[in-house]
Formats: sequence, structure tokens, C-alpha cells
Amino acid sequence: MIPRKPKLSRLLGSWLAPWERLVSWFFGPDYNPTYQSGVLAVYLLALVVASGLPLLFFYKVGAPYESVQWVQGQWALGWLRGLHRYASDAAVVAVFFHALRMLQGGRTSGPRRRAWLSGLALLGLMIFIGVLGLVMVWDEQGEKLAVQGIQFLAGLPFFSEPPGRIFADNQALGESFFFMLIFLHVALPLVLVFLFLAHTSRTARARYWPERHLVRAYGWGLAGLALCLPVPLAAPADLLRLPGRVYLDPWYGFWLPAAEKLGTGGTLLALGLLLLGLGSLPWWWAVDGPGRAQASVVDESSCTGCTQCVQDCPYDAIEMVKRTHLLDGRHSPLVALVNSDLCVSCGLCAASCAPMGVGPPQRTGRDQLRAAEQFASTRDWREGDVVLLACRWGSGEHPGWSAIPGIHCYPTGCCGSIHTSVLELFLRKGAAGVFVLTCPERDCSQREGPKWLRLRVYEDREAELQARVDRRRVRLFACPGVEVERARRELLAFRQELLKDPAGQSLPEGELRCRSSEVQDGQT
Amino acid sequence: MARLRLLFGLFILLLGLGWSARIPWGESPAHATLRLSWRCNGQEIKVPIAQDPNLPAHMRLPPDQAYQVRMRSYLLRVLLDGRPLLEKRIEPAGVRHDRPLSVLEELAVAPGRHRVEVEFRPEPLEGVKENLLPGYQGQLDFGAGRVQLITFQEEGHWQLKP
Ligand code: HEM
Ligand code: SF4
Ligand code: SF4
Repeated sequence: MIPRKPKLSRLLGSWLAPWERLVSWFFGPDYNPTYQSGVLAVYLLALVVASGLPLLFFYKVGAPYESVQWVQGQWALGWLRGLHRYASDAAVVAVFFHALRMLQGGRTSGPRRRAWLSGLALLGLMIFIGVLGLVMVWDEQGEKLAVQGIQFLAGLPFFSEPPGRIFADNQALGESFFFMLIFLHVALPLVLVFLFLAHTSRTARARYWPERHLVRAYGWGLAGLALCLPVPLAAPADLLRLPGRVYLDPWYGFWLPAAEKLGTGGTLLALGLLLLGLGSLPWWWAVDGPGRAQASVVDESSCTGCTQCVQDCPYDAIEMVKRTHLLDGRHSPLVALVNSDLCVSCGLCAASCAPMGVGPPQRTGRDQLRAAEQFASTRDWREGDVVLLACRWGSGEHPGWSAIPGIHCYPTGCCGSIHTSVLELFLRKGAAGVFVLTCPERDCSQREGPKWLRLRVYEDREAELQARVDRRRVRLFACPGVEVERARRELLAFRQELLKDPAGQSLPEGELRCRSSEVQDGQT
Repeated sequence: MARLRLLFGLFILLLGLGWSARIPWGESPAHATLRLSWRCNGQEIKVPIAQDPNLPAHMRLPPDQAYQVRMRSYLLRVLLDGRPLLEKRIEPAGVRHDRPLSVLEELAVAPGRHRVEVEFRPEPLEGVKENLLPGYQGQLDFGAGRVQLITFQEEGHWQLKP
């Protein structure tokens, strides 16, 4: 009943596995830039703004190339120009990996549609603003981009005369053209901000900033790069000379070679098809399998009105409302209500609810306990046996898990959706330990799964793992989906530890969580 | 070791970024370009409006108003060393074709000295006496990678650049 990642995401994941392994080898899970690519893009764009503002004062619409040339000659300003350009380039790279990550994580459909579509708009606008910036320099590269770019406008039916005529002659191009460029280059980023707000409007506690080591590393790195490798400046544009070989910024000018090969019509057609494909993607790149993305429901008779699910839902899909049923004075006046239009079916609320009163159909805490009990009863438990709970969205579907002696693989949904009572249940039923394989905290397809689980197990967050459970018998291990071998080593080492020290295996008798829904004394 | 790998990874990323700003692309063009670019008002013609002869006289348009003003289409012809290079009908711009005429043509030309002739004339119309505009004729030097701009001015003047 656990929804699976879209088939296409799994396919993409297997194609990208070698690359992922390489990146993971270099950076490890904590500093992997692809895991934080969205927030890295935000940070890089902030760097772009900070480095661009001072440059604005030195740009002359009457002599664009000369003013940039002058800036290039002043080492501090030249360095700022380099930083501005490299940060802009890096931002596109970050956005590319961010989109790829979303595809790979299957985070495209349902309520995430808005983020996907606004993301596309963000990317398009970003590239447009970047191209304007490159044209502003008015060197040969800028000229090529402008002359080719204006052909796209010529293909649109709004112009009564060829818009490319403004590039017929150097004299025809006045200050007003460069004024318009700089105006748009400065004003459009404001639109970017509004789009970004729409982009993250459905995510609760959206992160806007990368982890501080990444901030420092990329900030200093780009600053150093701008110092050591100043951005080149091509020859000045001359509309009466055909531009020859130029340095082409591939991140913003990638379309230029295609446009020269395919012609304007061909490129517009290709662009239209690409837009159609990406724009309709949330409808065909969607969660599949049984139990596909069904919204959570609240069992009002169990809900104690504690608000924990509201606090834990990563998509702000739950609110507390006044109770309209069960007004017998024994139930809380407020009850949780899930907005099915916002719920992505991540299941995190199921694990946040101590009385097990909420969750996607057949994935609530109670359902989980039932399924775990059934699983445990079919096992032949031996000393040192470990239950491996592995997220099917991460590496839980890896075939390697099933054949390890002493390991009972139990594929689950996101680790953050596993009710802590399930961990306890396995320990009671005969497992020496439970090993939960989580995704790295910054790379959870459901955004906050590993974080909530860690807090519930170790920091007494509501719906916590009971104090009676010996934490040495529980291991959470955050591992990128591609690093199965590392997880396997860790798992076997955990088992060895348990075999060496079998003490404390029996748990004191006690109710498995499932508190009464009725109001406790002193609770309102 | 992990820190070293991290730094090395970052170094490679940054190097890639620096390199990407230096990817040369495109070739120095081996040809020259003849660019024709202008905008002109063109000539008007008056097209009589057919009136119903059965209408009472007070409902008909007076003879001096019984016509529509239309802009004429033009023919653009370019000859290079006596051989036709371009022949094109230029319609007045706008949905109703009532706006000035715009021309923007880019023609690839082998480098060297060529005789260029450009004609830009209203399309002949039956019964309309033509006021022939002079075309351009001249020997021009075309350097590889250079653009020779020819501009038509109102009243039939031609301008060359550079
Ligand atoms: C300027 C460009 C972009 C920036 C700065 C950006 C940044 C972000 C941030 C900060 C988040 C919230 C992450 C979180 O807290 O979980 C996010 C979510 C998201 N982004 Fe982007 N993004 C950009 C472009 C794109 C593009 C081009 C796409 C894909 C076409 C995209 C798809 C998504 C999706 C689907 C989510 C929602 C994920 C979820 O709710 O699970 N974004 N983005
Ligand atoms: S009892 Fe469960 S459903 Fe009710 S508010 Fe608390 S966490 Fe949410
Ligand atoms: S499944 Fe629960 S936690 Fe997840 S989005 Fe839906 S209501 Fe929120």
C-alpha cells in the first residue's frame, strides 16, 4: 500500500547512479551540493544581486562596451564582474540539478504541481535575465545572442516589421536600447522573487539557505575563482562585421548553436515541444503503484487535538478546526482536518500522532502496527537478528537487502512515516535490533522524514520512541540511496555489536503506544 | 581524507565553471554579407469604391471621396555581377497592409569585388503610370566577415555603409 516513486524516477535514478556515486564520494551526504541545489540556487542568486548592484553604477548606456571594459580594468570591479558572472552561471547549474533532483525524487505531481510549474517559469525567467546581462556587455558574444535572439521575436505574429532591423547598423542602436536592457535586467529579478514565493508557497518551513559550510565554501570558492580566472571580455560588437569565434556562456547561451543549426522556426518548434513536455510533466510523471498518493484522513474519535500533526506536516496540509461530531465533552474541542488538495500523501503525520488517529488510508500507525505484527509473526527469530526498515523512496527496493543472513528487510514508506511503536514492536517480537536506513536529511523526498524520525527517537519529540526502549538496539543510518555498500557494512557492524552484547534484549511489559483519544485529566 | 576529497571536489566544480566561461564557439565567417535594410512610406493608390447606381444621389459618396487609399506593394530585386540574387515582393506592413514598407535582407556573398544592382520599385499596376525610382548600381568590395549595408531613402536615394 506504500506508494512508489514514479517509474520514470526510478529509471532516471538508475541512469544517474554512477554520477551520483561519484558526487557522493567527493562530497559525502552532508555537503553534497545536489541535495541542497534549490537553496544553493537561492544563495547564488543572492550573491548575483550583491555583486551586480555596485556594477550598476558604472554601466553607461551611452557607451556600454567601453564602460564594461573600464570596469574590467579596475581590479576590484573586474573581480566583482567575475563574481557576478560566475555566480549567475553556478545558479543555473544549481537549478538544473535541483530540477533533476525533484524528478528523481518523484516530487512532481499532485499538490507539487504548483512548485514544478512555477519552477519552470523561474528557470525561463532566470535564463532571460542572464541573456539580457550578456547582451548588455555588447561584445561579440552579446551581439550574437541579441541578433539571434531577436529572430525569435520575428517569428511571433505581433510585429509589423522585422524587429531585427534595430541591429542593421551600429547607429540605429541608441541609448534607449541599452536603457531598456538594464531596466529589465534590474526589474525582472523582482518578478523572480514573487515567482519564488509562489514556488515555495506549499512547503511548510521551506528552507531558504544552504548549510553554513556550503555557504562559506561556495562563497569563497567563487570569490577565488573570479580573482584567479577573470571573466574574459570579447571584442566589441560591430554590427557591420560578422562575429567570428566567441566565448559562449553555455549556461545562458546554450540555445545559440541549436538556433543556428535548426533555424528560427525549428528552434521555436523545439522550444514549444520542450515546454509542452515539461509543462505537462506533473500529469505524466506521477506517483504510481497501489495506494498512489491518497490524501491522509483523520479518525476523529482518536484525535486528542494535540496539534502535533499540524506541526509536523511538511506541506501545511493539516489545520485544527472546531469539532462538529463527538461533542460529548470527553473529546478535545479541536480536531485535525486534512486539506486533501495540499496533502502529498507523504505519511509523516501518521508517525506524528501518538494515538494513531491520522495518516493516509491503510498507512496510519494502527495499520503499520498490524502489518508489522503480521511480518514479525512469519519470521523465525534468531539471536542477533536485525530488522532493516528501508524507505522504498530511497534504497529500500535494492535487491541486495533480501539475502543477508540475520537481516529481515522490511520495506517501508518514508522513514519519517514509520510510527515509533513499530520499532518497539519488532524489538518485542524477537528482533535484537532495528536498523532504519534513512535518506540524508537534506535529501528526503518527503522533505522532513529523517529529521522528524531522529527527533522522535532521540529527542522526545511527540510520538517519541518510549523511554523503555534501549536506544543501543535502534540505529538510524542516513545514507544516500546509491551508497548501499556503505549501509550494508554499517548494518553488519550493528548486528555484530548486538551479537557481542545481547544484554538488555527483553523489554519491560507495557502497552504499545496507542493512547486513548479521550481527554486526559487536566487537558482541555 | 574526507576533507581532502571535499576540497578536491569543490576545486573541480569551480574549475569547470571557470572553463565554461571560456568555451570558444563559432567560426570566423569565410563569406561576406550584403545587408539591405530600410523602411519607407511607399506610394499610395486610390482604389475606386463601386457604388450602387440605384441608390439615390444623396446616399452615394461624392466622386472625390468614392475611393479607398491603399499602399502599394513593391518589388525588390538584387543582382550580383548581373546574376539575380534575390527577387521578392515586399508588402506594406501591418495586418491591413497600410503601414510603411520594411526591408531587412541578409545575403551571403563571396569575398571580393562585385557589381551590385538593387531595384526597389512599386509593383506595376494596370493603368497606372509609373514614376520609376532609380535603383542602385555600383562596384563594391566585400571582405570576408564584413557586412556591406545598403539603405534606401525616401525619394530614391541610396546610402552605403561602411
Ligand atoms: C530560481 C530557481 C529555483 C529556486 C531558487 C528554487 C528553490 C526551491 C526551494 C528553496 C524549494 C523548497 C525546498 C524545500 O524546502 O523542500 C523548492 C522546491 C521545489 N522546486 Fe524549486 N527552485 C527553483 C527552480 C525550480 C525548477 C526549475 C523546478 C522544476 C522545474 C523546481 C521544482 C521544485 C519542486 C517540484 C519543489 C517542491 C518540492 C516538494 O515540495 O517536495 N524548482 N525550490
Ligand atoms: S491527535 Fe493525532 S490527528 Fe489529532 S491533532 Fe494530534 S497528531 Fe493530529
Ligand atoms: S500525508 Fe500527512 S504529513 Fe504528509 S502531506 Fe498529507 S497530511 Fe501532511
